[in-house]
Amino acid sequence: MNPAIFDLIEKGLLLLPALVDAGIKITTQVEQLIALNKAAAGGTPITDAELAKIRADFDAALDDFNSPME
Amino acid sequence: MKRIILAAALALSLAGCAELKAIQTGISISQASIANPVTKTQEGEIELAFHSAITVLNTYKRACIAGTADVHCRNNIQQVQAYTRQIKPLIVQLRGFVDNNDQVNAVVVFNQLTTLYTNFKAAATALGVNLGSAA
Repeated sequence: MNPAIFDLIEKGLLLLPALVDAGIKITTQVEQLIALNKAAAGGTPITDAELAKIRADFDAALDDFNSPME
Repeated sequence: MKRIILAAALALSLAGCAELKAIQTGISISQASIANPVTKTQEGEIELAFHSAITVLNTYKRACIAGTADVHCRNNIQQVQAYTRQIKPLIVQLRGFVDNNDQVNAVVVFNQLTTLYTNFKAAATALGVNLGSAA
């Protein structure tokens, strides 16, 4: 077996917690999207508090990504 | 170690299920018009769609900083940032127009954002970063 495979496996294992975290966050956002969509279809608009939270969460994530690479 | 891998695989597959469910529910980011005005709910939907994509990109960025991503990751991230840095001023404008129910300007900015969203997802995909297809 090529020894480089162990390096790849190690890198993959180091990535797993980040991937799990991202998977959970995306699931939450998709569930929010579904809930918004269903509520709107049922005639219930988003509340100001819900929108404020969506805005704040997105701002934090966007600022994080847009910051220069360390 | 096997348990950790199984837990990770389970978490990722659950995320995949949620994404599939969203597609089946028919959520999509469509173009707005005066006849199809931008509501607070639609603003929330587009912000959540962008947030999902940015979450994936933040994971990639952290992996890059940690040295566990591909060798081109810094260049890839800088290329995608050219798009994501255009999002903030447009989102700020959209929020103001939606709050003041200025539909003429809200529709224009909303449509600019949906185009930007499509373009930046395509750019990320071309660089090998799949941002999913939920929205």
